[in-house]
Amino acid sequence: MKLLYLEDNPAARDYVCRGLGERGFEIHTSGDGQEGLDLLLNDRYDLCILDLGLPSLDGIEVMRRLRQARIEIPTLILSARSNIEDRVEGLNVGADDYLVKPFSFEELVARIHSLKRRTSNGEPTPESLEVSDLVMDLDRRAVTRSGQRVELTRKEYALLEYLMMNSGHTLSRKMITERIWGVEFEGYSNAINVHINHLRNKVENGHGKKLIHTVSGVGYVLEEREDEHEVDLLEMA
Amino acid sequence: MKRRISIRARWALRYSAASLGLILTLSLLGHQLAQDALDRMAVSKLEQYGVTVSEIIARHADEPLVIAGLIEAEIAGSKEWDELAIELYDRDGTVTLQRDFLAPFSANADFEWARQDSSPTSQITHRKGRLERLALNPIGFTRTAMSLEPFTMALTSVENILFVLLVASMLLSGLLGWWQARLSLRPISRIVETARAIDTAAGDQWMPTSGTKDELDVLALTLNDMLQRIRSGMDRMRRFATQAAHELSTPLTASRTTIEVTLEHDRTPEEYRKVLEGLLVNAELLSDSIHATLDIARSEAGLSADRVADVDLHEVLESVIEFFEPIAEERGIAMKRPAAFHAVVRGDRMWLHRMISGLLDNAVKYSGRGDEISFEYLQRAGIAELDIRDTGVGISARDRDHVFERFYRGDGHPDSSLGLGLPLAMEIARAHSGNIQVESPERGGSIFRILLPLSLTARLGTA
Repeated sequence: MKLLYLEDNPAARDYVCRGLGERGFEIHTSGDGQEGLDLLLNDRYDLCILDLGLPSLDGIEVMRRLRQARIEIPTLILSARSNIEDRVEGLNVGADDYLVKPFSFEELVARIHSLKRRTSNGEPTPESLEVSDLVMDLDRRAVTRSGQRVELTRKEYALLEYLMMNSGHTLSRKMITERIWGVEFEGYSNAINVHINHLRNKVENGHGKKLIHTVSGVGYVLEEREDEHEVDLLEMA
Repeated sequence: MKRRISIRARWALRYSAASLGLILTLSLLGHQLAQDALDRMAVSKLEQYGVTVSEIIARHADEPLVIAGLIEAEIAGSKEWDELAIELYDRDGTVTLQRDFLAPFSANADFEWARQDSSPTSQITHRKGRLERLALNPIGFTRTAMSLEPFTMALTSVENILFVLLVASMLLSGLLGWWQARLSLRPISRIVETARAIDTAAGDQWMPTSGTKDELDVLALTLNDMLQRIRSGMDRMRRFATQAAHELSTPLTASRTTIEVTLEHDRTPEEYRKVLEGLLVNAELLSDSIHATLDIARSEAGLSADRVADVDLHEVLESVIEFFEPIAEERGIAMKRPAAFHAVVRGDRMWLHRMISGLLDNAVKYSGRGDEISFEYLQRAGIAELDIRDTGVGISARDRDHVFERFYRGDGHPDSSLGLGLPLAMEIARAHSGNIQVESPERGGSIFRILLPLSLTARLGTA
């Protein structure tokens, strides 16, 4: 995946580039808003990571002109401006996601993947989601595990839906909180563990294979793993 | 830029103008009075001479030839007659006596006057700087005249005096105004000097007050009040910055020490991994601290108007409970949902969410297995009162005064507490013109009471 990262702070640019490089991304950078915009207008990138405080052209302005030029490249704003107003403005001018500094690197990676998935699949919404023997009927809002009905609360259902839609991909606690409970609860992202455990109790307990996995320090992923057959009781505790 | 003249100069000008108006009016009046008085004096004097002459003529009407001589004698006898001119005419208009006259007698009008039967016996007229009297007598008529020059001169000197008075009084009142303004402004100059010297940020310098409660004392008191507010605000800011720096430096120091110690020897990959994981946890803590600190700073700056709307408090509470319920459940805490209530407040939904989350998070953190968290809503006098009660560890009397202070952590606080949740909740309540009260009842636990004014529009709408 070819990324463009616009950031004027060399230190930040450096470590993000190194980290993303190690993850196999092809990453290009610029520390100047105007130059970055020219790059985006003339070259093809899969995704753009945008800092707001840029010299010569502010990030918001870059975003605006990019969308004016009808370039629909998925864009993630990475900014120290954490005001709700700034976030709303960023999303209003056409950014697809907004991550506040200081951020966790894994969080950034998870969001890049999620963004890419979200913006690239043009396929219609499926009628049902399936992972292993876990089936979610989106029309009837019903979940079954090995054919057995699993009763979920509204929030549990939303959480499971989010995990299943992104099965195989790590979702950060922050992403889950934002998506399911809203930005108001972002300060309590760590409490997501509890909600996940509740979900696990219902979906996994007594159903054999463990499907929801903790990704240490980041969040969770729902996938079928060959080497795990029993629910890890230690993690449940 | 328009430059205004000084207050002193303005007062000097005002005083001068006022005195000009006053003295000018008085002068005109005085001048008029003086002129009238002098006129009357001149007329009565001429009248008196005329009468004397008429009497002499009347006494000797039958012997006209002696009359001139008698009058001559009368005139010679008194010095007062010096200023007088006199002419005697017989019925034909022939001059019988002419003494020291001022101008040749030419006006035929006088003959005409004398010949008319309807004319009065005497008449006084003003004529070119002199006063003339015509009088009929048995042998003809008399013309007496008097120069008005002495009277005009007297009036001129009165005018001069008035003019000098006018100018002098103008200058004097201008000076008086200037001086008075200076005198009353002097304390202000002192206040200005003091204010210039005072260090707003620090120190215990204040505006000197006289205690007289006059206007200037009130000014000084007002300034002192403002100074107090600025100082306490800056003090709060400074304390907050210091605390924040301290709070941030603690995990930073820990990280640094860990790194230094780790680097002293070669370690196994497992050891490195463990250290790095510890550092990550530390970094997360730091990052949370920074976000929470920024939140407080922002909430303190007040609500942004375009995000303020009518917010259903019950809905917000339900949403927060939904989030914390499983967490409480896992810790063995029973959460009793409140009965439905209707309360609409004016505010920022997100901030209100944060406020209630902060309080509920706190209640969960300080409660344990077997405890209970409950809610109670009450509405009184346009105020929404929402109690969040827990039966947890409660708050000691010592801690109670400090729970809303930033970074304050009471006894037995969990490690995950930043000490910013309650202060943020308080700032949010205040930004909504509300308040949060804390109580620790006898039977244990604690009660946090949120007080928020109900939305006026919503109240009117449902009334």
